[in-house]
Amino acid sequence: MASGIKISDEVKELYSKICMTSSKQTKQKYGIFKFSPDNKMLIVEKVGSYGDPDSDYDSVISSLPPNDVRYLAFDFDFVNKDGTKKSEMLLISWHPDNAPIRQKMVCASTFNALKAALSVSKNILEGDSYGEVDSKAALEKVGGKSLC
Amino acid sequence: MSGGVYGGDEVGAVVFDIGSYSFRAGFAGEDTPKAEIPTHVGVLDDIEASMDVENGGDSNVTPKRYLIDTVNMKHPVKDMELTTFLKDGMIENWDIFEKVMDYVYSKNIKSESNLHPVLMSEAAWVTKAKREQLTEIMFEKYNVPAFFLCKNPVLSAFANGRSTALIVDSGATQTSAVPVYDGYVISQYIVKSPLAGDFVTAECKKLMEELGIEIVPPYMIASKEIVADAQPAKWKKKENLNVTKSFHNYMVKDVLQDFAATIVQVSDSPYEQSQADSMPTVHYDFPHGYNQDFGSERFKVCEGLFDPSFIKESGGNSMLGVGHVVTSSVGMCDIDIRPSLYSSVICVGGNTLLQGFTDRLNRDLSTKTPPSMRLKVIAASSSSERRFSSWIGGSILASLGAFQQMWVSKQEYEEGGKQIVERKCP
Repeated sequence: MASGIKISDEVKELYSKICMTSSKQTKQKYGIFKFSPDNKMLIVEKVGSYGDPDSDYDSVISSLPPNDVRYLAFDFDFVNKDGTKKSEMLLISWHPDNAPIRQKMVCASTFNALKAALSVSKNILEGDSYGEVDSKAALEKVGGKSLC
Repeated sequence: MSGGVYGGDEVGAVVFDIGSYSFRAGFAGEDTPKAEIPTHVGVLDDIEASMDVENGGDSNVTPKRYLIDTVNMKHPVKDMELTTFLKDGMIENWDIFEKVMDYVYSKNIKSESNLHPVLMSEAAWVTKAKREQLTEIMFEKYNVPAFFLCKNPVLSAFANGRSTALIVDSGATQTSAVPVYDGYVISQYIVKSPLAGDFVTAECKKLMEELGIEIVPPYMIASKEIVADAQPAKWKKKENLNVTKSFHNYMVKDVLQDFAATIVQVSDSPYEQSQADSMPTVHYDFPHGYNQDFGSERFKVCEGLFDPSFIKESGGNSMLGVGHVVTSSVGMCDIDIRPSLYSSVICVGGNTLLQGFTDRLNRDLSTKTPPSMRLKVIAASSSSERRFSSWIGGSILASLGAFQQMWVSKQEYEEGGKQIVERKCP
């Protein structure tokens, strides 16, 4: 069941840019998505590139608003269990307890449409507290050993 | 009063949520239902109407008169039987259901049914035949412009921001655990248990019998005097009460429900007599004037919810306690999705408002969940959000402008027939 809210093209384009593994220096690292004020469309709120200040995972997570819902797509770099460096895409649904119930409803009922639009089926985190989506939870999800 | 705290686009949709205890109805976009009326309905043989029928020379069926809503059914009427149109969360008696709908449209919604799209919640285990029949009635009889059916647990999960969750719904007649994954109910892994609100009231009734306390519902009392603590009640009975057994039982249950809501508390850990004795007592006044303090009994009556071996009758052990309902449902699901289910166990339903219910569930589950999994028991803090969680969820969904394309429209129904509901409302 879905809300019928559309995923805008800019969201899809940004996601595929983040996914592309070309030169790391110029590449986008993460995107934060939010709902348009009339709740009809999902739009890009913020784009982060490699080398930006505060672009490490935990800083980005703590920049998520404590009283509204967001989605976050993040190119997550980590050290694998065998010691090699690796990166995986993470998709996070952020719906804090203090968000209005209306926004939580919108967020949950649109998440499926977003996953379908971006063809994501793994490395998905849902959280209503920072502890549920921090780097520890993310490492657990991707099966990594540590951050790099 | 439109809008409310949740705001809303003006679609003017109506939301119905049918529970085994009450029927919630109101406009989409508002924060609480306009009306909450009992699912029970008073039924009477209509003598005047049956005379008319005889004059018309038709039929040998006695017409019935239906008394709906609290004010009409909760006062004593001679020969009125109380009955419900639901069975196992599904609509069983369509005649009574239509009577209730007629009543709600005229008294609560106060508008014509053909002007408002209708979103209705349903139990997770509703059969295809029942959904189609409901769709047919809504379009054919009520002539609604658009219709949508939504599963209760999905609405509850969404209202908590989750598209994947395990919904523990403990209402009046049953406690169920329903896994919701990506916004869809995994219907083959639903686990249900009869240990719920009605069980607690039944246990309270047994307790009263043991203690020799007579439960006198307010309708029987003509006058009463104040008596001291634990002294026999002094009260006078009303004369000429000719009520049916079903009415009397319902009213007794009403008193016991109030007793359960005020006095009963779920013990933090498995029941122990010595511990329960040390807890503070709570005073309760019965409607007929009798009053006394309750101590360990407060914890004893609901222990069976979590530990069925505590129930005295034989056969009690075959029922599942609340914690067990959750673990068996999750245990049947695919191993890959179990962590996400355990990390969002959402408690809804009136019975979870018993003091200490969620704390105990949290404790019971933490001893049973594998240590590698993160456990999180979620419960809305306000009682209305927990009792009406699926209504509120439906209210928000139906008020979204973007949701309009999801409705089954009258035109689609006319072209595709009632089968369309299975396709558009999975």
